[in-house]
Amino acid sequence: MGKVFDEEIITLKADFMKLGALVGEAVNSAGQAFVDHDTEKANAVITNDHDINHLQIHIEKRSFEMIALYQPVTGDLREVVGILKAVTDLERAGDHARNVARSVVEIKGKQRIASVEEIIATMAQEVSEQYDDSIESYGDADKDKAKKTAQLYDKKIDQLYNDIASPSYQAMAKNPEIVSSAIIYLNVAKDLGRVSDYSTNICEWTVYLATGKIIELN
Amino acid sequence: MQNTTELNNKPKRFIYDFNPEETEITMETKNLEIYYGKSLAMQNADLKFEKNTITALIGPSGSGKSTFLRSLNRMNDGIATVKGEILYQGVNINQPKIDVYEVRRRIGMVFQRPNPFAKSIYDNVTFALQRRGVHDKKTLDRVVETTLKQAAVWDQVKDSLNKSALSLSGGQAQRVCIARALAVQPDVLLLDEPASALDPVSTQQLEATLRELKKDYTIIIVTHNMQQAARLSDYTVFFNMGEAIEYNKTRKVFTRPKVQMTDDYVSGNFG
Repeated sequence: MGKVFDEEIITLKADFMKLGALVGEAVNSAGQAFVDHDTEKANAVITNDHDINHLQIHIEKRSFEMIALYQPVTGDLREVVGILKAVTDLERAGDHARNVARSVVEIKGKQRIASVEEIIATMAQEVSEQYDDSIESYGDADKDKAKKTAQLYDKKIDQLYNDIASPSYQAMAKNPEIVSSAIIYLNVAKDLGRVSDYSTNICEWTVYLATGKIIELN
Repeated sequence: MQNTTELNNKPKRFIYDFNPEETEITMETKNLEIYYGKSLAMQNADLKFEKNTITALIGPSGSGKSTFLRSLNRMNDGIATVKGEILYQGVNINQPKIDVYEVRRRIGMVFQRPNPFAKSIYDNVTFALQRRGVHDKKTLDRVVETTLKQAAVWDQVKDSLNKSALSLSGGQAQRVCIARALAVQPDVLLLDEPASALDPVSTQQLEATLRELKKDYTIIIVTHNMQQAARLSDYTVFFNMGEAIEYNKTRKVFTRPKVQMTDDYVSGNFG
């Protein structure tokens, strides 16, 4: 493919990685905000979600144009299609980070369970690391790292979800006062779990980008 | 499938409107009507061409795109009757009192098939200048080197400038023809399907050459190859049945054209 396509794909990928960084920041900040009960930080995540959405639309538009104008094939096609698919996963991961941020605002002033919040802190940390590794593997088109990342976190994240869910259910059964907080914990755990799933999707698109094979990791 | 309301809402023609304050227009056509004998071959093509851009003219055979292109430097003189105005830098060049050779010096043409003269590469490039009485060896040498470099063929032919241009490959010959057109320092370069006789690699080199050249020239190119129009040009005009149907930025024409007929043509559902 010609020089113009090569230049445009570099720009497109740079935009994609920028979006990846924005979402990564949102995931990390939202987790931190929840742990620190920091509503200011949470509100910043909620506001920044608009930037994420705008950039996503811009990347999609450019990808469509590149397919229409250059009709790329083989590796070039995978570059564009990979971004077009993975960009949706990024945007959705960003939406779940925003949900976590909303929960920070929602739980303010409610009764808390410190032991559950500790596990949420661990899960947020793990999910954030998984996300960063996934994006890095995409940036480097590193299929081995992608596979390793998906495998490394899969069971760990499931376990952490259960570690949050069971005490939350138990607490609800014992004490009606805690119900609204426990529901928020369940939602946060679910949102973090979804971010983890989208990170796995990004790893799958990394494998596609590097090999052309569409596979299911986990 | 689009519903009927949506189809009815689409315009029948769309011609891009340049913002005159932001754009420098090199050429413009107004009320152009081109007749072969008594039959009207081309009308409704009031178009403007922006300086230092590539505009692609696309459309089916017989749509009038080549007729239109050839009228821009009066190649249709003696073949067709051209009515209306062709403005080059604001001057109507479609008048008998305008020197047609001067027009063609400013507005050069490269044809479908590479057509080098049966002379050396050097003489091909300097032909027009020598005819105009330029014989200074230094000047001619400089022109040969500059234009062959601009046409991205210098490295391949610099050691064989005295060889016959007929010995060149199609791609090289076409680029020597571009150098020949550039030797008289035109402003505008018209190309009539310049890559249709070339293989994919030569085509790619030619496209890269044109992309470089647009920094200094205004380029208008007729092409049957829609992908070429899509990847190469800044603006695209779609012609059909002797009319300009849609003129817009290339990105728009190939992603969301305004006119249904353009949509059908570029997506291959035409007819």
